[in-house]
Amino acid sequence: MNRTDDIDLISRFNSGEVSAYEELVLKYQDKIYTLCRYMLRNVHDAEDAAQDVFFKAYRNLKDFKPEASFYTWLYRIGINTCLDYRRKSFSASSFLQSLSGGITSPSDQSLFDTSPERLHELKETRKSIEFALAKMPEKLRAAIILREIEELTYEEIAEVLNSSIGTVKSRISRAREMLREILMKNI
Amino acid sequence: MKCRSARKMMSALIDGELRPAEKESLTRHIQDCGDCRKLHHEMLAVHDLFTAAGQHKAPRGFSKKVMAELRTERKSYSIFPVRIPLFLKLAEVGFAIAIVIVGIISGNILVMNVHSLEKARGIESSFSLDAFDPAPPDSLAGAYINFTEVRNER
Ligand SMILES: [Zn+2]
Repeated sequence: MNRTDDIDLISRFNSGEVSAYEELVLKYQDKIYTLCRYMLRNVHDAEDAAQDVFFKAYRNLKDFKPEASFYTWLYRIGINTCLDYRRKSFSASSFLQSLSGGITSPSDQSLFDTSPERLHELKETRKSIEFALAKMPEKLRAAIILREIEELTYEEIAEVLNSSIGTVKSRISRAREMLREILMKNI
Repeated sequence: MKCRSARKMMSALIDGELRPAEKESLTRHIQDCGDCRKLHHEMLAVHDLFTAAGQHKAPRGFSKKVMAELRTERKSYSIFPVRIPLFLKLAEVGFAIAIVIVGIISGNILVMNVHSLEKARGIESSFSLDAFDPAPPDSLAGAYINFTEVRNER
């Protein structure tokens, strides 16, 4: 995640070049969508939430301070948006979907070019991760997703979650202990 | 190193977030302690599961959808295509408050004016003969006045 590239795109956007924002969306859409998928588990909520993240970022980009990294700022909006979604829209569809164990997302279709066995394996892996994450407290879930899926450092996670490195370290450790207990039955 | 502190540091070992000295003593403990070795293996298995799960891809046309939505949003704000700075928003609020205050004051002045007008009328009317209502023509008194006036004319 190149910081100077982001700052350049943001300054181009702020001077009226709207297409610079599309470049930012393209650059981060997979990461933000992934974050929303693991945070929310529901395919449709995840897409809506990911779009909301980019709407919010667009509206607030003028207030963004270049001293911070754009992506940690974006991840923070992502985490907060997902938490709002979980509180507000536990819709009937997401409830039914969680009972049936999720449905194929449009993005999963792009994985069809790999072998059916590989696809099945990947789906099963993701399903068990999502299942375990759904059982965890929100704070632990956010920390472990940022670490394991988004591969941020402790320092970056602390910036996203607005907490200390010590807190991040202990949340990730607790999250791993919990995941181990939930998942070891399935591994 | 004790098992308790080894457990606490194990997650940071996986993330490569330990200082070299910490890493060394923890690795040595894991080699020597069966329980901690088992725990470390299980934690690594969870970590590998995440690595295997990996990242999703955003749905097709995601960025186009976002940009299209933002374009319609911008159009709906077309009266103010540029974001209104805060000081202008504050000025707007201030202006609205000023109008209300002016309204209240001018309303009071108006009411005061009506009162003083009525007062003035009261003073004027106390000197005027018009204060006495002429008897209505269809009343008995009116009929009498009419009758006497007609007689007087004759
Ligand atoms: Zn031990």
